[in-house]
Amino acid sequence: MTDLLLQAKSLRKAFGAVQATHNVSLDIRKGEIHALIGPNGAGKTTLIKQLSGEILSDSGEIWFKGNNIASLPMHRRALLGIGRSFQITSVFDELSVRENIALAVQAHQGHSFRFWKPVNDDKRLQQATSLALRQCGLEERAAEVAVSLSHGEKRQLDVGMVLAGNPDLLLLDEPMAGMGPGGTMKMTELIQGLKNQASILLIEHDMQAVFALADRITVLVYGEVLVTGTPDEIRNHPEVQSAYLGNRNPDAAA
Amino acid sequence: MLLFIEQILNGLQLGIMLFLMSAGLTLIFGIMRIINLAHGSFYMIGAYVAATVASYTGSFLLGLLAALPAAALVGMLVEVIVFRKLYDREHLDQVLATFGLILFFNELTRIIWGRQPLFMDVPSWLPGTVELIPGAPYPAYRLAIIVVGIVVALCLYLLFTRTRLGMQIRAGAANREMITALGVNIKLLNTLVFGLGTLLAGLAGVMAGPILAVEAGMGESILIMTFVVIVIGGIGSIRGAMIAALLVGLVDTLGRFLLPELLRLFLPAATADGAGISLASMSVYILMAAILIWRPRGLFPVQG
Amino acid sequence: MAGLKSRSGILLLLAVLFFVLLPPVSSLLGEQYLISFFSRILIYALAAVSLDLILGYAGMVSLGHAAFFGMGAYGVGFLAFHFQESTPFLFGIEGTDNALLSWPFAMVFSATLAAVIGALSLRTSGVYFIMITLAFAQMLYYLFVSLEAYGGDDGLSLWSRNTLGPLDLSDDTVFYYVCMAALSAFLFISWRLVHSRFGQVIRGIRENELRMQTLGYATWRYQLVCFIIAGAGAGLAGALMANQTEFVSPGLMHWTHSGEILVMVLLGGMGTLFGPVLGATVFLLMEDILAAYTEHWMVFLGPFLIFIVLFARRGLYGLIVKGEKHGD
Repeated sequence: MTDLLLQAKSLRKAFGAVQATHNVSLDIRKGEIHALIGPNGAGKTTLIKQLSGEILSDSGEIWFKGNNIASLPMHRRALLGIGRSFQITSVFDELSVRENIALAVQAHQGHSFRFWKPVNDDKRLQQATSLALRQCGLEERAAEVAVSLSHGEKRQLDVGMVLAGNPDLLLLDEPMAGMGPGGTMKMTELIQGLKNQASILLIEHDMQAVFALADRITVLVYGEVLVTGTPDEIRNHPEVQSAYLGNRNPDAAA
Repeated sequence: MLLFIEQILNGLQLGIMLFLMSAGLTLIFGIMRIINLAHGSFYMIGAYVAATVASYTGSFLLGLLAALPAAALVGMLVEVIVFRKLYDREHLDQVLATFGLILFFNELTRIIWGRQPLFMDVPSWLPGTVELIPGAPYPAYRLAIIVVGIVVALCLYLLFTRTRLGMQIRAGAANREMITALGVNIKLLNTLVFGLGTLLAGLAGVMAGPILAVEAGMGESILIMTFVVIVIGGIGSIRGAMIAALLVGLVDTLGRFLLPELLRLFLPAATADGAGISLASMSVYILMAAILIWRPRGLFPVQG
Repeated sequence: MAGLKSRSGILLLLAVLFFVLLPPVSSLLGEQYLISFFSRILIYALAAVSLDLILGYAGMVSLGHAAFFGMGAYGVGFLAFHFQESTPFLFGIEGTDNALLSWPFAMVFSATLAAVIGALSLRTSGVYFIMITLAFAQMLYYLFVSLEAYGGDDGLSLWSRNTLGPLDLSDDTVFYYVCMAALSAFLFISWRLVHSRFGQVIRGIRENELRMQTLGYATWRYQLVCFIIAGAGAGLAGALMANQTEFVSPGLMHWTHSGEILVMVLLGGMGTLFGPVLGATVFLLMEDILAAYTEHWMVFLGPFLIFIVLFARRGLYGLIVKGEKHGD
C-alpha cells in the first residue's frame, strides 16, 4: 500500500438532480500511468476537477501523500504536487513563452508579494525558468508571444508549464485532443518520458495511445467505475467491450 | 401599529417597482449575458413620455399607453444598433458602452425637456385613499401599484411556464449555445426579450411618475437598487428577482422607519436620528453583503 | 522600457517636458488659470493610473473607484474640519491641516476601505463583481449625504490648503509641482510593481485565473492587494483634490464619477500606466473646450464613448505607439 500516491475513496458529486460522480474510488500508484476512459458524459472531466480541486466533492476522501486533501482549495493541492493540464490549451496568450514558464516556476518559489525587483533581473527565477524551458524543448521560442505559437507548440508549452512545478501527480485531460498523427506520436513519447518524474492520470479518447501508454486503465460509465485493470484485462472485459469499445479489437485501425 | 402597516405597504410598493426593473434586467442579463447600465434610461423614458402625453391629454391612461410602446421600441432600436455589437465583447466594453448610453439619454432628455422636473398627476379616476383597515386610510395609487405588480408577476409566470416563447426564453437563460443549436432565431429572441425588459422598466417609470420627480438622471438611483436586487436574487432568475425585490423594498422602507426608533433606545435623540438615517441608507447594502457572504451567487442562481 | 528612441520613449519625454514647463510658460503668457486647470488634470491622472492598475493589469472592472477618491478627499476634509472647529475627531485624534499627517491618513483611510470592499466583492466575479463594487460605492455616497455633521449633500469647505513642511501650497505653482511629484512617484511605484513578481502574477490572473490557481497561486489574495494599492492611490488623488478645490462633497464618490475616471483610462489606453495620464488630459481638455460651445456637450460624449469602445479599443496611447510590445 505504501506505493500508492493518490487514493480517492467513495467520491460523490451531484449537480442538481444529476449524479455526475457516483461513489467513485480510484487509486494511483507511484510511477504508473493510469488511464481514465469512458463514453462522453461519463464524468471523467468532473472527476479530474474533483481531484485537482476545481470542484469540491459532495462526499468522499482523497488521500494524497498521507493527507486527506478533499477540502483543500486548488492552489494548495497544486503546491502539494498535483499538476493539471486542460483539455483546451490554456496558456497565457499575451505573455511570452518565457514568461509563461516563469509564472509556473514562480509559484513554487515562495510567495509572490514581491513588488520591487523587475522580474527580468530576478536571477533565481530566470535560472529555474531557463532550465524548465530546456526541458520542454521550447528554448528557441522563448521570446515569442504565446499566441503566435502553433497548436502543437502551445500544447508543448501547456505541458511544460505543468512540469515546471515538478509535480508528483500529473492530471492530463485529453492531451492528444486536436492533434494529427505526428503530434500524437510526439505527445506519446513525451508522456512516456515523464514516467520517471511523475505519476500520471490520463483522460484520453485515442485508444491506440491509451493502450500503448497505460499501466492500468479505469473505465468510467455514467459516473461509476465499471472496472479497473491492466490493458489486457480491460481489452478482454466483456462489459467494457460492449459499453465502450463496441466489440472491436482496439489494435485494429480505429 | 397602523403606521407600521402603512410602512409595510410602502415597502411592498417599492419592492414591486424594483421587481419590474429587475425582472427585465435579470432576463436581459440571463439570456444575453450582457450587463446593461442603461436600463435606468428606459425607466426614465417611460416616465417622460407618460408625463408629457398625460399633461397634453389630461389622461393618465393615455400617458401609460403611449409610454409602454415607446420604451419597448426605443429599447429594441438600441438593441439592434448598439447591443448586437456588444454580445461577444468583454464585460468592460459593455459597461463602458452602456455608460455612454446613459450620458447620451440623460443629456438628450435635458435638451428636449429642459432641466426642470416634470410633474405627473395621479389618475383622477382613482379614489384618493382607501381604507383597507377601518380608520387607516392608505393612498389608493400606491395600492394600485402593488396590484399592477402582482398582475404583471402573474402574467410573467404564465408567459414563462405556459407559452412556447416563454420556454425558449428560459432555455436560453440556462444554456445559450444549446438554444441556438435547436434552430431558434436567437437574434429575434434577443430583440424581443430586450423589448420586454425595457417595457417593464418603462412601466415602472410611468408608475413612479406621480410619486417621484420626473427628471434626467432619475433612472440611476433606482438602477443601483436594481443591481442590489439582482445580486441578492441571483442573475437570470425571475423568482429570485421577485423575492429579492420585496425583501429589499421592505428592508429599505422599514429600516428608515425603525432604525432611528431603535437607536433612540440606546442613544440621545439627536444622535439616534442622525445615526439611524445613516444606517438606514446603508441597510440594503449591508443586507447584500451579508447574503453574499453566505451565497456568493445570490439566492436562486441560474446554472450555466 | 523600450528606450528613449522609441515612440513611447519620445512620447514620455514630450509629456514630461510639457508638464514641467507648463507653469513658467503659462505665467509668461499671462494665462495663470492654466496652472490650476492642469493641477486638476494631474490629480485625475493619478486617479486614472490607480484605476489602470486594477482595470488594465488585473482585469477587475470596478465601478466604485471614485469611492476611494472621495474617501481620500474626506480624510483630509474631516481632519481639516476638526482642526478648524478645534474639536477632536474620532478616538481622540486631533484635527490637523498638516499634509504630512492628513495625506497619509487619507491614503490609509481609502486603503482600509478598499480592503473591506475588496474582500467582500472578490468573493464574486464577472458581472456580480461589477455590480457589487458599484453598489458599495453608492452606499458610501448615500452615507456621506446623510452625514449632516459634515455638511451632507452640501459638502464641507476647507479654510485653506494643507501645509506641507516649508512649502506654501496656497501658491498654485507650488501646489502644481507637488501634484506632479505625487503623480510621478505613484507612476514610478506602479511601474516597478507591474514588472515585479507581483505584477506578473496579476497579469496572469487577468488572462486566466483558473490556470493561475492550478499553478498554485491563491489568486484572491493577489487581487485584493492590488485592489488595496489602487485604493490608496485614489485616496492620495482625493487628498490632493480636497486641497485643490478646498472643498469636499459626496458627489466625488458618485458612481458616475467612477464612470468618468473609467473613460479616462479607456480613452488613454488600458494597461499602459502612461495612457491614463494622456486620457485624463484629453478628457478634461475636451470637457473644457466643448463646454464652451454648448452646455449639452455630454450628448456627444455618449456616442463618442460608444464609438471608442467599438472601434478604438486600445485608446490613444495604443494608437500612437502601435506595434510596440504591450506592457512597457
